[in-house]
This record gives sequence, C-alpha cells and structure tokens, in this order.
Amino acid sequence: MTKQMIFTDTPPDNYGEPLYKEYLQYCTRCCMPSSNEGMQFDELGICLACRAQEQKMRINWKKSEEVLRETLESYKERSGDNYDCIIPISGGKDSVFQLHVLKKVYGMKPLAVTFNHNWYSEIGRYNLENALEKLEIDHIMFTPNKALVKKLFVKSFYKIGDSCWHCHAGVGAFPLQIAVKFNIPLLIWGESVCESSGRADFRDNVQKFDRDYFTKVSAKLYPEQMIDEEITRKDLKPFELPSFEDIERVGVVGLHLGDYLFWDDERQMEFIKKEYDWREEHRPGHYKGFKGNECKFETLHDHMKYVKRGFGRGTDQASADVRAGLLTREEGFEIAKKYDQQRPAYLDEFLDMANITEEEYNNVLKAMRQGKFRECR
Amino acid sequence: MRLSDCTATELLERLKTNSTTPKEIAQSCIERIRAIDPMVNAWEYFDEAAIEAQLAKIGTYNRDDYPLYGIPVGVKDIYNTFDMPTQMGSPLWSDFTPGNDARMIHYLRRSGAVMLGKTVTAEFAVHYQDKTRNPHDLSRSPGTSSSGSAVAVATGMVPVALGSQTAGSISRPASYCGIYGFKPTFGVLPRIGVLKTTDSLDTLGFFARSVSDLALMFEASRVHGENYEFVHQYIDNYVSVPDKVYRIGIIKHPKWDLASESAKNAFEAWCARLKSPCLQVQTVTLPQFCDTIHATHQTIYDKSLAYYFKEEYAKHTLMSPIFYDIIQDGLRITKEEYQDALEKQSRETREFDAWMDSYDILITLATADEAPIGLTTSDIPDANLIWTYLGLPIATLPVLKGENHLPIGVSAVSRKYNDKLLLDFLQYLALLGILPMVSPITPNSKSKE
Repeated sequence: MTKQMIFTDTPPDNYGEPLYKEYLQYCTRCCMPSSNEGMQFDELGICLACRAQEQKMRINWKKSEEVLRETLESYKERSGDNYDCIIPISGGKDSVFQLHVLKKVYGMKPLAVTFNHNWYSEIGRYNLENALEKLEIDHIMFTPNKALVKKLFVKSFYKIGDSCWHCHAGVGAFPLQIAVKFNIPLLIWGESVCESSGRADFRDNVQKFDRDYFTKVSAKLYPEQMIDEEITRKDLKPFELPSFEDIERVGVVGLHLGDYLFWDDERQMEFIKKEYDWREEHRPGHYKGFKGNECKFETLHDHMKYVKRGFGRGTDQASADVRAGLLTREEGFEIAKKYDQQRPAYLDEFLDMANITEEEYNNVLKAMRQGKFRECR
Repeated sequence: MRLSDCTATELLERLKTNSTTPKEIAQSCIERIRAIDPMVNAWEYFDEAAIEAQLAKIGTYNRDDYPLYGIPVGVKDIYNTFDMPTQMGSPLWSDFTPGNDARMIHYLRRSGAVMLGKTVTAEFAVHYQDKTRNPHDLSRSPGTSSSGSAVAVATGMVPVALGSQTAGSISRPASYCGIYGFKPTFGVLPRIGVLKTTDSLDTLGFFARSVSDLALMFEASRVHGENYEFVHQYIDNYVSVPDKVYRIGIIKHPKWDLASESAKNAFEAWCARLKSPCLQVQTVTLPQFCDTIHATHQTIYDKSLAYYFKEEYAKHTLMSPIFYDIIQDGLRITKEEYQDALEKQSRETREFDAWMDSYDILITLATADEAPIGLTTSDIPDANLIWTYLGLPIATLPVLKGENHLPIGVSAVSRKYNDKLLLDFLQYLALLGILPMVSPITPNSKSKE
C-alpha cells in the first residue's frame, strides 16, 4: 500500500489530539495523562517514565550487570541445597525472559511461583507450561477457587474500580508466602518499576521492593478490607502477606532484573519467540500483541482503567513507542484513541457476573474519576 | 576489483558464490582503515578482537538465513554497542561502556552484519567536530554530525555505515562526501539505545555507495510486523507498481537563494536528465509555512538540547563553545514557546502530508554548495532540516559536482511512510543510468597541507 493520507479515521481538525485534552494534562513528550497514578511532570511537562528512558542511556549497564552477577553468586553460595531464588511468573514475555536469563545466563536454580488468577487464557496457559517445560523449571502454582474469584472480581470492581484485586493481592502475597515457607530469601522480578510505570526513575528509585509493594502499587486494599458477609477471613488467607517477623527471619529481598540489565522488552520478546516458541496474540484494546495475554479478562481490566482514568493499554503501548521514536506523539494519540475505546472481550460475561448493565458499569467507573476529569461525563 | 571497492550487494554476491569469506571481507576493511584512516580520522574506536569475536559467531550461521551475512558496518558513536565504548563525541563520555546494543545494532547483528567499529560523531551528534576530514579535499569539512560514517563509506573502509539526523546530519555528510545517504520516515527505525537530542526530530539512517545497499540496510534495520501499525500498513504491505509513473516536483526551497550558482546550475542540468515516460516532472512551490520551519526547528532543537544536556552543561569546561551557546539559547526558551513549537511541527507535518498528495517525489539540492573549507566551519543553510522536521523519508544522491569538482548531493524526498516508493524510484533512476554506483575515493595526502 502506498501512503495516501495520515488521517484516515479521524477528522483532520482532531488529528493527533488526545481524547480528553480539556480535562487532563498530557506529557509533553508521550501520550500519558495526569490521571496515571503517581504521575510527575517536570519543568518541561515531561513525565517520569520518559525521563527514565533517557537515564538508561547514561547508565553504565556493564557495571550494573557486574553487581547483579555478584549478588546472584552470593545467593547461590548461601542457598546450599535449597533453591537459589524465587521467580514469580505469569508466563508473559517478561517472566519467560527472566527464567531464561536466570537459568541459562547465571546458572541459578530457581523455583518458579505462579499465583493463578483463575482466568488463564488458552495462549497464556500454553506460554506458561511451554516455558516451564522447555527451561526445565520447578514450579508451584496456587489457584483460588472460581466461586471466590468471581465474588472478589465483582467486589473489587466496586471498591477500587478495577476487578483484579484478587490478582494484584495474590501476585504480591503468594511468592512471599512461598519464600517464607521454603526459606528462599531472594525474589526476582523482571521489568524495572522505572521502565514505564511513571512511579520512579533510575536516579531515584524510591519504590524499592518491600513487603507491601504490591498492595501500595496495585491491590490498594489489604485482605481484611475485602471481608463481608460472603467473603470470610478464612477465604482471604491466600492473599495475606507474611508477617514482618517472618520476612525478616528469612531475610526476604526482591530485585528487578531491569534495574541491572538494559531492558528492551520487544527485543526480548522476539528472542523468546525464536528460542522458546513463546506466542503472542492481538486482542481488542491492545495495540501490541505481546502484552497482557495471560488473562482472558486483561482487556476488561484495561477498559476499566480507560473509563476511570481516561487512558487504557493503547495509551501505555503507544507512549512506549513514542519514547522509542517509533511513533510521533500525534500518531500515538491516534493509536490510543483507536485501541483504548474498543469494547473489551468478555465484558458481557463480567456484566452478567455483576448483574449490571453496561451503562451501570460505566457509571460506577466514572464516579471514581478524580480531579477535573470528574467533570467529563 | 578489491573487496574494499565492493558495495554490500556485491559482497553478498561474492559470498553466495563462495568467492570470498566474511573474514576476508573484514580483513580488507581493516587493511583499508590502516592505510586511509590516518589521513581522514573517521574512526573513534576500532578493535580487531571485537571483530574477530563477531566473525567467530557468524561462522556458526547458515549464510542463506542472514540477509547481511558478513557485511561490515560502521557505527556512528552514538549507538550503544555491548562490545565497544559509546563516547558520543564528547570527552565527558570518554571510554563510557554502556554494555548493551541499541535495538538497531541488534537488528543488524541478527541479520549477520559485523559491527566493524565506532565512527566519529560531532559532539553529541550536534555540530562540533574537528578531526574527521573530507576525503575529496582534506582541508574541507566532511559535514556533520555523522562525519566518520560518511567518510568511512566514501573511502571504502566499510561498505555501509550508520548515521542519525536531527537537522541534516546524514544528508549533509552524504552530499559533501559524494555518497548515498538515507534517512527513513520518522518512526521506522527504532531509537532504543541511541543518544537522544530532540524527541520529535532525531531520526536514524545510514550511508552507502549504491541504491541497492540502501534497500538492503533499510529492510535489515527497520521494524516489521503488526506490532508497528503504520509501518505494517504502509511499508510491510507496500507493493511495487510496475511501470509506475512518478509525479516529481522540482522545488526551490526557502534557502534556495543561498545556494551557489555552480550548485544551482549543476542541479538544473541533472534535473534535465529526468526524462522518461515514467517521470512526470514539474516545478512546484512549497507551501508558505515552510518559510518559518527553520525558526520553529531551532526553538525545538535548542530547548531540547538544553533539557537533555543539563548535566553536561553544568560541567561546561569540557563542552564546545558552540554547544554551550546552543544550550544557553535553549534555556531562554520558555516551556510554552517550546510546546507551541511542537504543536506547530505537528500541524505542519499534517498539512504537508496533505499537500504531498499530489507528488510522489520532491527533488532539490541537498546542500548549498560543496563542502566548506575548514573542519569547524558553519554550513550555508539548506533545506535538510525541513524534511527532518516533517518526518519525511529523504535520500541524498551523489550526482552533482561543484565548481571545484567536489561532490554535491541531490535530495529526493517522499511522503511519510512512502520509503519503499522512494527506494523504488531510486532503483528506477539507477536503471536509467541517472544514478551511479560510487567507487571509493582514496584521499590525496598532499591536499592536507
């Protein structure tokens, strides 16, 4: 196809404009709005995630890699007959790359740990099992019962405007529980918090891992805050964080590989596709085919964010491409408009679960809008 | 013909017929570098051990699976490479080892290419460089900022090399050194792991001595697939049209009057050769808003440099006066002025795209004249930054000679994402015999004196 017109779908007057420019401030450089949690714009109106990307060019990754290698060696030495580390994994591109790096590059003996949100997609399950098999990794998975998951799914929607509390809390708690139970102090995640979250940068990475990290960043509520007449404390045991005493006794520490290795997730994705037959899938609301494919409700999660905060996964992915020089900011806004507004897969299933209409669904989320964005109806 | 005289396409042919090996090719480049580089200083870092390691790796490859198998590439010293330092033309970053490959370097290595070494860049890919010389006349500038890459290709030290362009940093060195340069559409080559100077302008690209090498490099270094929507739509799905009639606009850009008479005359004589049933040529006038693009570009550029080089500015004792002055100018630009300029760039890019609906290719002079005398002399303003500002694909064609018989390039520009159409057009001109294959030049050491 020969290029004809850039603005094929959008009226020329609105081409390249963000959807909510009257209500939200947008980063001068990428497409991220002020409604992204923890957003910090600098004197030029540039967000922290954008700044972090440029800091990556001034980091001596050779030296950081040496620090990582020494750290891993020290844990290897002290682990004796036990596992050297825990790798919390979902089967997504980052977790498979983590498994590869730790096992094949650093010769670690990891224990992979998965909190199963119980909504695994077909491709997500394939990617998880395939990676474990090909990389010969021992694995523990915990699966809460579906009836409980459904109750929590709906409750979470009303409480935090995001139906995935059980996943956020479980992903935070379960690996820690295993660390304490199996006496494995080192937990290793993949992408740095600085990479694209906009919550920290490489110079001032204030959100180092601690016990309550996932509660602060994503789950927002502790298990006891989810108790009601249908959900008991006993039901919520799997979501409970170990005590500070237990964490201290085992000496639990967490690190992100992306704080030590130059992170280029698309390149890594291409690598695991080639080496391990990892698979991607294009889904509604997602401009890229390689993110958030493990869960069948992922696109619903992203859509809730869009209604509540004015941006979805399309914005996240387009912003990453703008930072990488793969889109102009205006093209990024066009991509975001196209994908963020797409009706998510399985929305009807959720509406049935919650026994609400689509209008009610939208109203619940709109009521959670913050600041000037509340005026946008 | 010596191996170092061959283009990448010719080398691949020789490799296919087993008449040479990657090791022989690399060796010929190394010998050429030893012989020529002391005169022109194109290389910032060059390490035979790193080359050996790469050759050992590609020795395990199945040649047919790697489109750039065994092809040596010169790398502008702003691209990160895991096995070499990245010094960005500044003593502030002397011996800096980033420890990773830029995405584009990865793509090239993945295609079987061998990164031969790092080539000299102007300080932070902006303007100041005082060591690389123009091989056609050692007293002249090779053009900045991708100086070393252009010279390395022009002299046959390497068949292809990487550059980057924020204003005219590929087009100008290509024009002054008499080789091909190609800066694809903004967004087609990934910038991950490459020095940032200006978000909305920095674009990567490369140099070569033949049109077919441009196409080879373009395919190996660009992104592909559905994860890149516009590239997939317009480039992956592009289909060449046999016997296409190219609608060509010959333009006199806003800085045209500054060009030398000899350059203008040579340009007009070359344009007169564009005669074929498939070439529909007309003289056209650019939209009026193009007159202010230089000023808007400067606002964006200066402010961005002031923003991204705050820390270096704080240590300005190791910064060139030119760079220091740009940052000082940038610091005076307000956030609102900067954002207005970005908004203007966005609007004008869109308007220009609509205007270009009537043309496939625009043709104009690449530089105002031959290379200026002196290594740090300022260039006479030209149109290059207009095309960069508008995000358009631009090829520099080594087809003119100035009054001193030194090279001057012609720019061929196409619409956003019409990179393949532009490359098809160049292939067509090559078939017509209008575009040459460039032979490497050996500098005459006497001209240095």
